Amino acid sequence: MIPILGLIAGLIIGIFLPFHIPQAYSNYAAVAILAALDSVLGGFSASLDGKFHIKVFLAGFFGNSLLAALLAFIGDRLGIQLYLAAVFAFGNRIFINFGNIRRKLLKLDELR
Amino acid sequence: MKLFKTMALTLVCLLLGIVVAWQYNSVNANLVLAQYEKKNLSQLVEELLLERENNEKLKTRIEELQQEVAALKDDENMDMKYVEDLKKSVLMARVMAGLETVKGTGLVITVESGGQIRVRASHIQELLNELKASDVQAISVNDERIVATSEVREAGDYIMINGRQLVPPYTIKAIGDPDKMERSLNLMGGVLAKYQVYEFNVGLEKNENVVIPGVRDDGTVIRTDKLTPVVP
Repeated sequence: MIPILGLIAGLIIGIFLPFHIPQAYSNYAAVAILAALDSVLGGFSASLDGKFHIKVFLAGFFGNSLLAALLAFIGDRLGIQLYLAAVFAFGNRIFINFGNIRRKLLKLDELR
Repeated sequence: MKLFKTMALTLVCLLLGIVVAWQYNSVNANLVLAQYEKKNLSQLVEELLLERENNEKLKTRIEELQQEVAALKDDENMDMKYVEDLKKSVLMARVMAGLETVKGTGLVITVESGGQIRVRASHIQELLNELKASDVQAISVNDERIVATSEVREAGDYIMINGRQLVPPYTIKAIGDPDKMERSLNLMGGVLAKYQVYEFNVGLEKNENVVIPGVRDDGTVIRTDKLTPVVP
């Protein structure tokens, strides 16, 4: 519950901070956000499994984001839309993670 | 440990939220900016065309105005020239009428009674007449300019010229060819010969720079109130 409050607080802070990402980096930021979202959902899923490791989670969060952004950047340089790979991979994993979370939560309800 | 995990997760979520919000903002802003730029570009092109047209118009206007200025300057020059010509001709007319002080080569003659006979108006008149006959251009007696309407007459012991009483010695200044005038004055039986008979003291001096003053211009010597020009 507290992480969701953190997310909302972050949204509000972000909206009110007088800063926005330059258009040139907008694409990379979008892919990085996708990766970060996947990491957060993965972390949530893992914590429901009881397999949550803070180091793995943090490394995944920052590592995935940077890698996704880097991939998009390299793709732009090479003329290949590599960011599609990131979108596909992380989109896929987001749904998998969400599926896991859903199943765990429903099972928990069943157990009750 | 549980608290630590939750805190880490919360912080990461906070970070994610901030980045998402930034991205949202930037996408919006960039969209608006792009639209604005696009709109501005077409508008700017239109404005540019309009301004170019204006520029052309103004250039032609400048040319027109420059031509006008040139024409006015020409006019002004013409006017100036006209005024100069007028001034010159007015001056010439005044010189002809004897209204201007003039100078030139000529004779300065002084006549004074030798004691026997008074210098009379007729003597002076005779001298002036002789000078006029020898192409004199300007004469004055005791600085009284002789013009077309100048009288020379007797007034008791004096001579009257231009309504002024003159007293001897009489100084006659004449601008003209000095040699010619001298010759005609010195003719046998001429004016100077008569003067010798009357025993007048006569001085005759050629001068390169005889200055003869203009007639006084107060309407007493030259009157034009009865004159109407008849233009053919």
